[in-house]
Amino acid sequence: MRGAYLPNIAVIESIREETPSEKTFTLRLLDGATISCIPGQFIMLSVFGRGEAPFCVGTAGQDMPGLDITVRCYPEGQVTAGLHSLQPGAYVGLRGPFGNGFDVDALHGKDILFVAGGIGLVPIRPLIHYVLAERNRFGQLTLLYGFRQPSEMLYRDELAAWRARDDFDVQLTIDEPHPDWEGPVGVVTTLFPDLQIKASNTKAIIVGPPVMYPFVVAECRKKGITDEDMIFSLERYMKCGIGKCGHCAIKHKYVCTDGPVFTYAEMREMAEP
Amino acid sequence: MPPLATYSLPADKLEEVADRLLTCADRVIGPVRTPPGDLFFDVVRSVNEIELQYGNSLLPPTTALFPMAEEIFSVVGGTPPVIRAPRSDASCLLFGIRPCDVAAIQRLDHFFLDGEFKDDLYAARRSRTAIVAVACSQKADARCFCSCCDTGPFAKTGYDLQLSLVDDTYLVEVGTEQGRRLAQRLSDLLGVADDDLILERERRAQELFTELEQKGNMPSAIRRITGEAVSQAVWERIGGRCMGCGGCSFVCPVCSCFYVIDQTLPDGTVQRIRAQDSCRLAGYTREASGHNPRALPSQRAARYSYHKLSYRYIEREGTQGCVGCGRCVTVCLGGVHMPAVTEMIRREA
Ligand SMILES: Cc1cc2nc3c(=O)[nH]c(=O)nc-3n(C[C@H](O)[C@H](O)[C@H](O)COP(=O)(O)OP(=O)(O)OC[C@H]3O[C@@H](n4cnc5c(N)ncnc54)[C@H](O)[C@@H]3O)c2cc1C
Ligand code: SF4
Ligand code: SF4
Ligand code: FES
Repeated sequence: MRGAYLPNIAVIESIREETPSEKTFTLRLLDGATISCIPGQFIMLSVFGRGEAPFCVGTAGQDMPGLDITVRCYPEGQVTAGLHSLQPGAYVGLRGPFGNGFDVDALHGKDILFVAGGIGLVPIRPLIHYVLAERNRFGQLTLLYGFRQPSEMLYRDELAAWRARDDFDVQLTIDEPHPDWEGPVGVVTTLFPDLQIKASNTKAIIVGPPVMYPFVVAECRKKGITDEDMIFSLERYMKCGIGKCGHCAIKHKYVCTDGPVFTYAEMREMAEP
Repeated sequence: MPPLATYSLPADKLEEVADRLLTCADRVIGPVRTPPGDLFFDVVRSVNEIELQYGNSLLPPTTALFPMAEEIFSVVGGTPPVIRAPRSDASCLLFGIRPCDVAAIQRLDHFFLDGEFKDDLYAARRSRTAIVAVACSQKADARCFCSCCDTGPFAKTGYDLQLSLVDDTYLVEVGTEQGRRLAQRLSDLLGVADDDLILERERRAQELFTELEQKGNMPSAIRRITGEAVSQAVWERIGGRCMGCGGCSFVCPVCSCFYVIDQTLPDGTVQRIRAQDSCRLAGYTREASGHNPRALPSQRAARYSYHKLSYRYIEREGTQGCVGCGRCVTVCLGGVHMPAVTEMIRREA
């Protein structure tokens, strides 16, 4: 095994523009190397000369020749802006995967309520792929996906395919009215009141900006979903991915190694003063 | 843990011991005073540079294992790039470090080497490093407080060799096989350590231990931090006095946080560097979106204390995150260093 800090080299095979600020990069490892990951894990991606940053795995599976990541560009961000300036054929570094990922076994037989805010759909997408690939092992499926405006909708083709299915209830909402939008308007929690779910059999998978979390928790509780059945993926500034740099620690947990997936019951214990 | 072997050494032979140890490693690092008068742990070239009666150095000797900055790897070429790990096989001997710093190294060992992931950089340096500790026979520094942390005045484990002065004789303890090999190089200087010498060292350590400050603030702080009984007002008072300079972390032998940056050298080589970081700095948790989960100095003060003193971390790392070296006392501009903080927490109880 290579040292934990030494990346493998990967090449950018293709780039898809999702939104004005988000692109999906398909990466392939060199020399026939493979990567195995589960939904909810993340990799550390290097743009050499710019730095390294964590990104959720956009595709999951065993012994894959590479994987997808979807990256939001921060114009002044070292890695994200550096990556967005690269073309197919460029080389990057890849370490991982790291983190616990979603406990997919615990979801079998359950109804699943996916709640995504903005770029929070990124880690949820490979989990949806997994669930749809074994659709009959799961109960009722719902996705509530909120984003700011129509141009910020990720994975348009996939969303259209999911919406076309009659065994997957997909509801989209944008934050504020927009001339190009005919669907619901309002933050993602406005979709909750009309939701018909069996709380006792439901697992909620919730990923979005931190400001969204208290509101979603309140709505889930109103529906009767327990804190143990609310599952989040957390983000923290990260510098190593292996529990050493200290940056991602919350209380006595490390988001990179103990997480990034935590139940709300665990998160309550991690509340800092 | 009892030592593997014990010997005696006449005090006036110490120089000769140091002189021989100088040849036992590629680099010997010891307490050295610079011309302006500051004490550093630095490369020792000759024994007369070594000064054993020192107030704790501002920078800890742990920088020999976890430097202020070091290369993680460099990248050469571009199509495709080639990763080159830094290589050094140089051995190192830490001479004359104090029991509190030995305890700090033990905590770093546990943190960097045990558990799910190993830190390769620390592991490489640590595996080539020997520790020759010198126990304290008097309070070494006006600010240190090993008696509150159970880390002195002599080390019970964690050293390869330890020397404890009792009048005109050193008790020499061998802690490891590596220490045994070092002792072999000194065998003609070493005598038998009789029970009296061992008991006398024990007795004097006890005497010193009781003489040292025993305010009981530390256990109280550990209890109250673990139980989340410290009030918001106290964190705000500490945060309000903290300048956010991070000095307390940079001088602490136990602090282990680092950040990572890439730098490009004139020849195009990219170097990835890690450098020590501090949870007291505002940017430590600031995310690219601008969101900062620990935006307030009070939150950062609480984090620092929690990491060092909460029982949840003592459980995780085996020991508490303060060894009582007193360095943060020297450096803190706001007077909210470890002993002040534990006292503020205790007073509130
Ligand atoms: C587990 C995990 C999974 C993630 N998954 C994804 C994902 O799938 N997709 C995604 O897009 N993002 C994801 N993120 C977020 C992503 O990691 C960050 O967007 C990324 O780290 C930003 O890195 P950067 O180098 O571009 O920004 P940085 O260069 O770190 O800059 C961050 C911000 O700080 C500011 N800044 C930079 N330097 C300084 C300075 N010296 N002083 C003051 N301010 C400064 C910049 O203006 C910038 O806004 C994830 C994060 C985590 C923790
Ligand atoms: S040394 Fe003192 S002022 Fe500086 S960061 Fe630490 S507590 Fe704050
Ligand atoms: S917290 Fe202060 S006294 Fe304790 S080990 Fe660190 S620098 Fe030394
Ligand atoms: S990212 Fe470094 S400790 Fe978690």
